[in-house]
Amino acid sequence: MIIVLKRGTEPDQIAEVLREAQRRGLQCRALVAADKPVLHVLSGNTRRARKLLKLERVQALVATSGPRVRVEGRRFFPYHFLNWSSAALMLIATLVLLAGQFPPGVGEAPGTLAGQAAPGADVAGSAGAPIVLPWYVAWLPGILGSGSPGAAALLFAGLLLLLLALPTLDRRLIRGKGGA
Amino acid sequence: MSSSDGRGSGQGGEFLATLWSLLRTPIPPGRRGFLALGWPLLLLFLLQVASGILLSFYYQPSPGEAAESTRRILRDVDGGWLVFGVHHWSGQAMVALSLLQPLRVLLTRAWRGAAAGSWTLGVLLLPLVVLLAYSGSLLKWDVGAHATVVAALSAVGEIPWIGPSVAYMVRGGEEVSATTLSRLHSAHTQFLPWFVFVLVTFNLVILARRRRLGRGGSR
Repeated sequence: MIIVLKRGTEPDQIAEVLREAQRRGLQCRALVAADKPVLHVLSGNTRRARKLLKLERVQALVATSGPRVRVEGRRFFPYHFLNWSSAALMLIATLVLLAGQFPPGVGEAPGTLAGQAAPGADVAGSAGAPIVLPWYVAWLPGILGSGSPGAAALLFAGLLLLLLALPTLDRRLIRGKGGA
Repeated sequence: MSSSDGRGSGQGGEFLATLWSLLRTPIPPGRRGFLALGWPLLLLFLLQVASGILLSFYYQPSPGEAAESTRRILRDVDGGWLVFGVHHWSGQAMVALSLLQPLRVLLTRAWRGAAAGSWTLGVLLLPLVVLLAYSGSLLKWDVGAHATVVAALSAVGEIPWIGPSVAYMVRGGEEVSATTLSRLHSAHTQFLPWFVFVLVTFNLVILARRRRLGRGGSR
């Protein structure tokens, strides 16, 4: 950052601006080579440097660098939008087709106890009714039936923990190979 | 059996080698979104939320009315069959994609480096999505759903230590009752969707950050 002083600024006035800059926590050095002296700000806060503009001898503040990391905005590509829209429409069309061709059904309501048919009433059992499990949990009875539910729960918890720890385990494995 | 790099003997080996080479093919950045499974998952979740809100106008979560109100949605409400069907099938698709997503990451070893956060969220998302879909399938509260709830909670109750407490909490008592349906309804419409939403949002934040930092990665 460079602080430009007005034309004809005297050395004692430059020294005064330097003192003021120092007081505000800025490190500067004076460069007097042309009719307008300038102060090169070596370190310090831009917000604080702007306050020097209030001084009578200071004319302008010139930024010499931008942010260290420039974040580039995301560009919009029409063909991406078209692709995304087509994919979304295809997905929705498939769902509508499935809904029409294979509508989900509803069975009979479980028998309610006499006098308890009002909303919120308790429901009597549905003994003997077939248990229809969705495909994603259809394998559960098999696993539960083969061993104790406790062992199955432990197995699932262990599998979940293993999957969660996979990145860490993999990193250690790679480090181990690298060190060998 | 084929080796780990997909080279094997016979047609099976060729198929695995082809599959392996397909999985290892670098995807151009422009097409990455198409092939990845994260964004369809988000779209399905939004569809679920939208259709779920519409269904909630007509569904009555009480044992005496649940099955009948579901039947009314399918039979009497204009476009009810469509909304219910889309809600049902998008739930199924969401479970399928939630299963496929970690599987793809597992096969391509895409959990490495900056993608570790996304992998963790994906693994946590899977049981939540399964619970979300399963609790939804029970809300119609017909004979099959009721029998399933009784059997499932009985199995959960047999798990040592935490099982009985969890089963009691979900049942809302010793027996499956109106409270059970009410709790399943709350879980399906209030708790689980928010958890899924939080995980999906975190995942999007991680992906956006990776893109900004120029690390790319799959979705």
